[in-house]
Amino acid sequence: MPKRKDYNQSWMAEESEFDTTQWTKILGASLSQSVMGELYRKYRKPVYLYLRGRRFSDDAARDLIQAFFTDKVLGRQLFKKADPKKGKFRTFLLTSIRNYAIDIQRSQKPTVSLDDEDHDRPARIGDPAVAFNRAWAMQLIQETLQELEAECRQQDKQTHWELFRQWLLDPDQNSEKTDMTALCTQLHIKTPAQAYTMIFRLKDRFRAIFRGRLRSQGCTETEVDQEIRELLGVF
Amino acid sequence: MKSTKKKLRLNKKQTTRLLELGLQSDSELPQSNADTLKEQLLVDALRSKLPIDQALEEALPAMIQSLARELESLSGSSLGELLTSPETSTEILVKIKDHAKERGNTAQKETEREIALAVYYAAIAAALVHHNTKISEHTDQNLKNAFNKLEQHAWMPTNLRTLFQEANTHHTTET
Repeated sequence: MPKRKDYNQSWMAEESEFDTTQWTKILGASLSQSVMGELYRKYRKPVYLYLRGRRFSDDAARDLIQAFFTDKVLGRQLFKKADPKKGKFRTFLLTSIRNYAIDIQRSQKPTVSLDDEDHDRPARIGDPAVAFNRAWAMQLIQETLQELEAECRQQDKQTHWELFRQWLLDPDQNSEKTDMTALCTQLHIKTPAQAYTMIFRLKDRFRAIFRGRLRSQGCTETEVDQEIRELLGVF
Repeated sequence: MKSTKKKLRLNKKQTTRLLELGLQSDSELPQSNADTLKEQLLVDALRSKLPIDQALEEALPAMIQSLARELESLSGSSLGELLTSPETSTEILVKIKDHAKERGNTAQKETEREIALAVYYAAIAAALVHHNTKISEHTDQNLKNAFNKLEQHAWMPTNLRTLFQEANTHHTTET
């Protein structure tokens, strides 16, 4: 187990303004602190859940995340081996952390602390890849929703966003609890037909932003559909 | 302008819904939006409960308002429930059919006409399925053709789609 180091953690705390993670940025000549911060912020949770799924304790997993991102990522060992032509970034990162965890477990086998009593264990120990992919999907969806919301505010479409948000958070889309007429009244929309048209427009934008983010992670148009089906499979 | 960066708490169903949304290709958008609008409007109409308060009644498509008033005695039952319940009498189903036919004939917009048509044939299908009774003068073949066409619409809610499928398997006695 790597000893906890006094890392220069400024990039861990830094809020990055980058909205996309692209192979070109990662593989660029200089891996800036803002990109590093973005990588850590976006992918620490999937990596953490993967490590917990491999029975690392909470403390051990947190240490390993730091080590992984500092030694492997910052140290550029990881991305020296990266080839965007060979597939999706998600797959690449999952394989990388899997190999890293295996190396750690092999080298530290007698002393790896298991999460015997840790109440923070993932729900499905034994499926670390599932935990990783779920967290990955959730992160991607949240980023898409945040971008969509920001876009609505920029275009003075706050009502569109609020309508879409309430449609999205409807406990059961087909239940009798949803009353589009009441929602129209609340949001000062003339008719349910107009409201549905507004929702459709935002669904179109969500789709476009979501698929765009997947393409930026190395997916071709065909691979985008495959990627989404794989992510659907873990829910 | 700065984004709020606030995360929405999503459950599994909501997450799945969004992922499925991402699957549709751009080429499907124009048709899917029109179909989805029809589906949503029809589902809203089927959800209408009785009795209905004034504000809701005014907001419903005209074809549903008068029907809802006539069916006030069936308090608490939505149009969708009436169409899919074996307890609904053939008399009520005839009323639903007649009103839907009238509204379809007087509809100003194609979407309203299609919704009225769906309700019209749903009432006929319900009578066949739940009472083995034909409440229409259409020939059996014409009804089969109509049910087949309606069940294949992308915008048809599952409950009505099932009703049309079941109606096609019934032999009838005429009223």
